[in-house]
Amino acid sequence: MLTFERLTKRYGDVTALDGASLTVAPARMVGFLGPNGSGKTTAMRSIFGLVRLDAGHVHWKGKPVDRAVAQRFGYMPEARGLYPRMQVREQVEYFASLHGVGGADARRQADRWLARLGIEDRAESRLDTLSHGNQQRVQLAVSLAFESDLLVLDEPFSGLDPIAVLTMGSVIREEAARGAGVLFSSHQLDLVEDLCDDVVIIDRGRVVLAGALETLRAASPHRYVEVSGPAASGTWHESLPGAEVVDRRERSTRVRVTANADPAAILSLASSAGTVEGFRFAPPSLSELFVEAVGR
Amino acid sequence: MNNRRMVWLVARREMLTRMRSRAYQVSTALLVVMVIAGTSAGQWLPDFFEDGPSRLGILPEAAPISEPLQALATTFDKEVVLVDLGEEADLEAAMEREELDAVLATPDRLVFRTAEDPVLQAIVRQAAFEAALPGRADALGLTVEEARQLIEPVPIRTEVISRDVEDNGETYGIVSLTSFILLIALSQYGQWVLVGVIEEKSNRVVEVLLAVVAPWQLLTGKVLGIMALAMAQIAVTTAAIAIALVAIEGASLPDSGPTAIAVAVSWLLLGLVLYNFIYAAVGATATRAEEASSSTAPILAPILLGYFSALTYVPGNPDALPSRVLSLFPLTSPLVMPARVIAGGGSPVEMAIAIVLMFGTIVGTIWLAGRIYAGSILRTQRVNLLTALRQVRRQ
Repeated sequence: MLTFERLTKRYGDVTALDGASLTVAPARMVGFLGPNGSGKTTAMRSIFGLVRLDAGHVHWKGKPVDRAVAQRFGYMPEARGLYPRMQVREQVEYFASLHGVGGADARRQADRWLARLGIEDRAESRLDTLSHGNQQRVQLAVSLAFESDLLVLDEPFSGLDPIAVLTMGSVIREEAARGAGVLFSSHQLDLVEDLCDDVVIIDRGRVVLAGALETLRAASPHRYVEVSGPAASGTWHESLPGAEVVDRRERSTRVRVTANADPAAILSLASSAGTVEGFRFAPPSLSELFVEAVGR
Repeated sequence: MNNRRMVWLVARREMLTRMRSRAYQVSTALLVVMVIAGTSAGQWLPDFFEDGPSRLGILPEAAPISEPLQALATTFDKEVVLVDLGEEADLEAAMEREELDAVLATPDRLVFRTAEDPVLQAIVRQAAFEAALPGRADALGLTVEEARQLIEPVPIRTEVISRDVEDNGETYGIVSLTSFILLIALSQYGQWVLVGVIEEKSNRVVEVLLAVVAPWQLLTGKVLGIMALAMAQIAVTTAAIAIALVAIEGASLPDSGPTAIAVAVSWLLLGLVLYNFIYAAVGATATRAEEASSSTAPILAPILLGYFSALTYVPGNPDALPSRVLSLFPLTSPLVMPARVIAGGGSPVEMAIAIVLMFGTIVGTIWLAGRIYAGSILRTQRVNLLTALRQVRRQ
């Protein structure tokens, strides 16, 4: 298990991390969320000693992370980078060997992951002849080509087409199923919602929300009601205590209510205002949780 | 994974990718072609610049001394072509027509066209003397053999107590050749390291690398990989020079050659290690290759100081104080120490001190370069060396 204990890092007047703590358990996928500049990248870099912390510790199984431990971690940094003129397969092999995989095994791993990510036909090509999306796949292969204990992926899906997102998403899920802990940051919240078991939301260097996604959604003091059809334009929600319209369109309305509201009562109230073609009563989505937690 | 394996993996990648690059193959091939061309040029250039054989016209009266004249020319290592002019009356016209340098009208009358040639003069004088000897001996009542014994020169033994090195062409040649190779190697291969470090930063692979490899391991692997290629290139070039020399000129290595080569190669290795790490540290402060060129100017200063001292001052004063200081100072010792040793200076103690100082400086530079490199990944702008050093302290 990876543990951040009250990480603190300042760059001059700027506070990047302000006592941030979190855990990544084995076989769990943790979505690491936060606005731009909230400290995600600094926290991820600190795992590999790329940032010297002012205070706090990064522990793996209760002990500080040293270089030998970090060699068992896969890393895909936000600033992507590989050797542009090096062959794709050699590149993956090279990084696998740096992570302790022996010669022939490194080659097998490289071939396996290139095939799994659908770029085996480019194995002999130079990296800089590949499209952006395929380069990103190679970058992921580099972080996967040894059986890592932990995967740290900083914005792994940015700039990818939906097919590539699906492939890479399922590959990462398989790694978690194998037993690796996965910490990945993203701004694509619906994607995180689909993939993750746990989420950690960080803002201004502090963790403002953390836990299993379903638990956090259930624990929210709010529920969201979505009504579509002619009833959507009515004023039925005004009689609900604490209700607030969060989105109103021509044929649908989304209203935030308190968690203890009765869905059956709301449905009958809406029906009295007109025909209800669609009705949904649910805890907040991840985006809504995020906005609630960050508060802006 | 142990340190050695990590360094080896980095060095191996560096060697494999560079060795396959067209730039390396072309530069090695070019070097070989250049040294072979240069060595063969050494064969024909002197002939090109030297005058051709002297052309000497002979009038009938001088004909009797033609034979001794030709024999003496060979002894004096002078090529003389004799042209029989027959009964020529107009000497000037004959000289013009036959492209003659001089005409021997009678055994005691030598006419030059444009300038006197003292060697030719001496040969003619000696030949005339040889021709006149039997007659003179006879007049004195001596046999030719007795006359020869009478004029036999007294043999003189020569010794040299302290030979001026600059006058000793062979040693001086070796000093200037090794110094030149050191100069080129230090600046050329340093540039490779510099560009390699900047490339890793600018294509941002550095963050992936530093997550798994320690900065010092990365830099050491890079420097060693490049050094192995550099040594291969130097070895191929040196072999090409040697083969060309033997094949084209039929030359043999001078006696001091093996010592000079051993000393120069040892210091070349030490110098390459030190300067390559210095170039690596400077590379870590820049983000683009263009920025680096201005940062490297200060590195060249001690290299050039060492080079010119080794070329001009040290060979004549191998044990003078400035030579001693420069051969101990790690930034100049790779260039100056070999020059001192080849010129007959330097003691084993001084050599040991210089090597210890060198190793200390190398270790310090590796540490410093690693720190600057590690600190540089978060910077996207160029920093000067002083700022980088201050950041090293704060990290």
